[in-house]
Amino acid sequence: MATPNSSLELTPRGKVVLWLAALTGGAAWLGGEEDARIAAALLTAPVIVDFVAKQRRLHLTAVHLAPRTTMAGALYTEQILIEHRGRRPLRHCRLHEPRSMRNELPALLPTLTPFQPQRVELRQRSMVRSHIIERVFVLESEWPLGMFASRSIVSAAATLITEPARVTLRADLLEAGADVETAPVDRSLRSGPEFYALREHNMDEDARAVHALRSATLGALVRRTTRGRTPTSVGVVLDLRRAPGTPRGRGLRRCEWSLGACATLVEELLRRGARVRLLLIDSTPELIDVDGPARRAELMMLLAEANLSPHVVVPAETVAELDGMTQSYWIAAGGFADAPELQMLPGEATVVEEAPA
Amino acid sequence: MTSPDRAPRRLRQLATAAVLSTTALALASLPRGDLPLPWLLAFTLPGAVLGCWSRLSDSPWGRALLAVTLQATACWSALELVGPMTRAAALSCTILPPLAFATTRNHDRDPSLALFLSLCVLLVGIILDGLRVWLLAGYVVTSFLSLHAATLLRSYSVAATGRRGQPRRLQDVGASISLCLLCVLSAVAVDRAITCLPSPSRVNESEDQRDKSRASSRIEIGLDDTFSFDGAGGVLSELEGERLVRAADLDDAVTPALYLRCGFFAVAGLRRWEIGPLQVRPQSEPDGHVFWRSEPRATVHTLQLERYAGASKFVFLPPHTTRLRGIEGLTVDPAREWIRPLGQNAAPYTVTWLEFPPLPARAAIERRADVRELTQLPKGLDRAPYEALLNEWGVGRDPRQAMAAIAAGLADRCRYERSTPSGPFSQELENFLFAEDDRHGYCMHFASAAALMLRMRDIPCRIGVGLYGGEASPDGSGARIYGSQHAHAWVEIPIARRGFQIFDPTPPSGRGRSVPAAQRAAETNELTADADDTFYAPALRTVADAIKAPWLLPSALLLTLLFAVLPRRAPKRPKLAASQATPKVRRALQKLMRALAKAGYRRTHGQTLESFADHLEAAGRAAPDVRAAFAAYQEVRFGGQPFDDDRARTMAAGARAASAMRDGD
Repeated sequence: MATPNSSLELTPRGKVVLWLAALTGGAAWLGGEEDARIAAALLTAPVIVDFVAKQRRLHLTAVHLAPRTTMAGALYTEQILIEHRGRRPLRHCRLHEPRSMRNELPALLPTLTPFQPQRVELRQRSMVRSHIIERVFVLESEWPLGMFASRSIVSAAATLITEPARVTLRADLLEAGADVETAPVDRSLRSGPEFYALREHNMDEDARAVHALRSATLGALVRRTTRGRTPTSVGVVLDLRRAPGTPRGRGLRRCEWSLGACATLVEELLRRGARVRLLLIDSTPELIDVDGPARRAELMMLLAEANLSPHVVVPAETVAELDGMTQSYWIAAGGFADAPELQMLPGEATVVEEAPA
Repeated sequence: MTSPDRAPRRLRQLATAAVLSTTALALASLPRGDLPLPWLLAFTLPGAVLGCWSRLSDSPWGRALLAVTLQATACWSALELVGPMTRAAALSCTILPPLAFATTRNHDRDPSLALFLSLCVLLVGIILDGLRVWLLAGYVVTSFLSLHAATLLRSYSVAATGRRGQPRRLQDVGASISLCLLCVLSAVAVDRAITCLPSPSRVNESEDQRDKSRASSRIEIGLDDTFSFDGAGGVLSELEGERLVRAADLDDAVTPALYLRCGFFAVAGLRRWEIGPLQVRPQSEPDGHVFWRSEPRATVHTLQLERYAGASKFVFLPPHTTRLRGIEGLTVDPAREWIRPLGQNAAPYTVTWLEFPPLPARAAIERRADVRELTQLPKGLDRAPYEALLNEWGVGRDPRQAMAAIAAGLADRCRYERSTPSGPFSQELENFLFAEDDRHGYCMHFASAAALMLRMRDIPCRIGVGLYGGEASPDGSGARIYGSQHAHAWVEIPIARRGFQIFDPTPPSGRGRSVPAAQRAAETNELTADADDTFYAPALRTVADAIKAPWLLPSALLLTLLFAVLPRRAPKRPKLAASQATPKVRRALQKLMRALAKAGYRRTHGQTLESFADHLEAAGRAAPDVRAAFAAYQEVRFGGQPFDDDRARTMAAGARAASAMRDGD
């Protein structure tokens, strides 16, 4: 008997055999021919056996797993504990999670003994940025003859946070606020400016950065480039407002890239020791000081749940919260690059945009 | 995406063996006589080679060239060896090459195509050569295994498994075997269910006929007072292997050509012959009956007949019986040589019968009044095609010449096969005689056709039914044992001063044809054969009849399906072993708590055992034994540990320490 979260359906093989069985059975009934009767019996018997022996108690299965945080598109191995609570053992079941196993093979469970938890490893890849609080797995089986497929949905209360996929940011964006090619004036332990690479020297540049030994070796002027010191406090504005007049459903790819850029930028800035204050502009603007792992996790959850919002006007005092920042980034996730709030940002504001292909 | 090689090697081997066995059984069902081995090989080997070759070569042109070359060579070789192909070969040649190819190809590990084609071949074999139960059962088993293995292989191919080649557990193998048996039973049940359904093709059958047909499915098949062509597949279609009669000649060995009549049919019909009017009277002697006096031209034989339980309501008589002794309570029609016991009577009896010399030419027909009814033809009979046949065969009005001509004509025109004649006509007899391509039938059809033709030449006759052939008794006494598989029908012509002369138009190879010994042994119901004289025989027969009842398996199938779809409650989680001991350890804890309360340390409501222990520690009254008792309780209650003697002693020591605290105060 079907239950709300389980189903029994004919496989293509079952459909063909059932059609043939019905045709031969009808012929045997109409004509009374012994040969047709034998054919009908031979064709009907496997369908009946498969229907009777089909495992209909797949939904009496519990799945336990820990919360997980991952990035969109990243491959990981999920460890789950599965326990069947029916009377008879389940045989040759396949377990998979549709959300995170679009291209991955389901796990085969040869035998699932009742009330004996079994550990299963699933290779998963969550492709869509999201925050879900319930993991939904599908348990299906065609045992024993493959005429019917029984399928059941098994859910588990476990969060899965899929952060935006990280993107590769241009170096000039990351170094926008740094003290480029400026020698350190103090002996602080903060990073930069440090030697980064050598490149060809342009004649109109400051000659003090020319690397004399390397230039002599190569016979051409070569100069040092340094990674600038990251400002101590950086403001990041993530604008999720759609530009006025932009219909819903457009600019989703830009939005995903922008969210990934935001996550990448914040992580990079935190790695360099900066204090990041992020202003998230959507229907209800929110200010987050990312000063530790807990706030970072909170920010990532926000990014996992973020969506484009209708255009609203941001109060000036909200933007003024970023006044103390020495460097600001503006990420127009909704494509609203001409926002008036951009002019209100203190210091040097850098607009983060995807490089043209 | 799919990688069947992840499956265990034994499972792959099982799948291959199963599909090969299925194909082999299907091929074995084809008639060996009609489809000689060279033609069989000619139609299977090229496809098999091509199937194997397709694994090696991806070139379609190469495969096509190879196929054409091989098939042409094979057909030419078969033609040279055994001549032109037979009709069976022509029927099979369209299926066998793809079957062989699909069986050996096996690329995608899906045997569906091979199974379907083998089913077609099996059905062709059944149509051509009749049903062989062991072959059919074997086919069901192997095809089940093939489907099952293919399903398991598919699971491995579309899923990732951590442990390669995980061995199958004994329970899994047991489940597969039980499902296999269930598959066989389901096939039988479906067959019975379709048989039980009222078919539109049998809508014209009267209720009486249906009753007779139902009765004919029992042990009296072929021996009852009906002679119906249709209904339950014909009178002789469900022969069983019981023992019915043992005949022993007091002077010599019993001849295999002995006919034992138990009844006759005088009123002709196109669908059914009937027994006709009888003039019954009591037996002439207290323990038997005298039919007629001895004839000096004939040789006298004395036969002793023993009937088993299934034949107790019949009396079997050889032709030209003069005297019967040893049975009481008989009803007899002396003129028609019809005799029956009034009730169930299985007593042995002795028969004296005459063996006449061969019938002379121009033998005189008996012209009694009751014989005239034996020349009537059925109503609605279209005589023209029959007359054409009679003229073609040159059948005259002389009995001996007519019998010989009809027997020769029938042997030439029709072949013996224990299956219902098929063809475009609505009546089996017409299909038997006038179908265009394959005219076949069994003794009923031969006898009916011959009787009708004789009557068209004004030769009176009737159809006699009974036993023929039999088997020599294993004790070497010269006796013969007859079972219902030896049931037979023939024609009887009343000859003056000879009685009813037997004319058997059935080809000798088909008369009372018995099944092979192995099959008969399997079919023989030992209970009914050996327990005839035991007191529990009737009960056993009742049980056997109930098992054989046609409604039993369909009903079981229906109940199984209902049971499968009915909702059932989920089982409760089995309790842990430790929970059995929880009441004991709880009582021990309560004892400890009461002792502590008497000492002035009462656990407050909602206070956990840990906080209570901390409270005692803070008060400086946490005795080591008390703490150990607390720990023991926690181990049992939450740790799943058993409440064994050590922990019981620890709890008791804690209670004593708590009591000592009070005494100490």
